[in-house]
Amino acid sequence: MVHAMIKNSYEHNCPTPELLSDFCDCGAVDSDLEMTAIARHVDACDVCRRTVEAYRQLDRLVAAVCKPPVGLEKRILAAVKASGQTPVDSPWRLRVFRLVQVAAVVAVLALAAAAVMRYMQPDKDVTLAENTPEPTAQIATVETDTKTSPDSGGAVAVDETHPERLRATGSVRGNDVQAVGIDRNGARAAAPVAQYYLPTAVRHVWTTSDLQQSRRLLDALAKANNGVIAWTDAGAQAGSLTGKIQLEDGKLQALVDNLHSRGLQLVSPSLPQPGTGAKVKFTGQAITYDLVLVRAEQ
Amino acid sequence: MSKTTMSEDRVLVERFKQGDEAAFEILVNKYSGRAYQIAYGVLGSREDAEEVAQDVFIRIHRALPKFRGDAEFTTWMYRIAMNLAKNKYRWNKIRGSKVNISIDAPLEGGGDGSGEERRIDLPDSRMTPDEKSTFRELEKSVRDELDNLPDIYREALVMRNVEEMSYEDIANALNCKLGTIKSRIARGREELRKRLGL
Ligand SMILES: [Zn+2]
Repeated sequence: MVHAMIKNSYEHNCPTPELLSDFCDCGAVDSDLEMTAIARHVDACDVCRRTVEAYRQLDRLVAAVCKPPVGLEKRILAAVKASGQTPVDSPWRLRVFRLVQVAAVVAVLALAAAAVMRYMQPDKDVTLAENTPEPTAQIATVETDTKTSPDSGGAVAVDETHPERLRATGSVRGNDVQAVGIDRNGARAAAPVAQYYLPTAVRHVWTTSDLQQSRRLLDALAKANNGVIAWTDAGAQAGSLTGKIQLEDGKLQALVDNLHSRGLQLVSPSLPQPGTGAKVKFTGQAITYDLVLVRAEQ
Repeated sequence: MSKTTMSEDRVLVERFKQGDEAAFEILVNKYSGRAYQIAYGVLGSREDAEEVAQDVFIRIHRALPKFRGDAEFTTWMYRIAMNLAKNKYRWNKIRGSKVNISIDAPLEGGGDGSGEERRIDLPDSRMTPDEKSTFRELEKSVRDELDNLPDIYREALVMRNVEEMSYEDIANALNCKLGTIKSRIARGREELRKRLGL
């Protein structure tokens, strides 16, 4: 302790900043004796007292800055529900069970085939069986709010008198918007190996330089997937368009990749993001995709 | 972490395993803020921190049936939050540098949506209006400086302010020695103090 004090300053014999910092977190100082010595010094030394006061003020400020947002718990619970997960081991058990089934079927087939028709290729059955989509889990659909309540972290207050107007402008929420990577190719870099499931409802805000052109592009892409986008275009003049479509999860990823490659910018942070195909586990489940097209500033 | 809280958590985990979803909601209400703050410490972005916090509890909900009672729930949760936040951090790096997109959409109700409501809670209700406004200004500078602080200092400083997170918990979550944490907190404080001219 005395050594540390001397090390720091020959003029004031002040404790090191580290000791002063420990002193602020009372318990962090090693002994009561040391604590008392620092307290005495701080009391007598203007420089150190100001430092300690500054540290304490900083603590209050940092605490205020990292205060969790209002409504966080609700949004977490909604996200958990939307993720509709059965416990994590279930898909694996299902898959193992399925593989055992497949193996059994293949074995029987192979035996029969070998006995009756020697030219058959049982391998083909294996491949087909493995590519069969897994059964879709029962997932409760949670309407991710077009009617953003004031406490759900949305940026838009609901105007009950003009609900259609809200829908038209697409109720861009705080979490819809994030800083976006500039590097278009970068988005396709190696994704983390972690596997995610998509929720049953996804909402994305895209920016585009040309609303109508993007709308036509989306209609064409939807048609190619045997789907139709229901547009609410009352807000077109205000610079945004809102649409809704039901898609399989894998097709949604493809759609997102496609829009991204055609120059639209996704500003929502939620999955699927462009190029996250390797990150997402596709089950073939249907997803309600709400998309908001917003004209970007040139 | 008090013993009572530990055993409370154990009871909640057990109840959830028996199929009581309400027990899970209690855990979320109790700990979502901490998950958020840990993620915020790593990422320095509120939007990313919220995404991670949601992810943390999606993971926990899935894995809780297999969670063994011999570890503390909080220790486990801190670790998940830390890992997911680090993954997100790496992912952000891969995606490249950031630009702010300006959206040409009319926003009803005003506000930038990035956190006005976060500041509803006043730091100290005894402050005079002048003091409050000074605090607000400082708070903004702290946010900017905190986001620009070297990651290891920000992580330690933010976690230091997570409710009931001890130095040991922080060291555990960051996988560092206690001494390292102490010194990072100290350096973080000193660096921030200098940058803010306090
Ligand atoms: Zn001194």
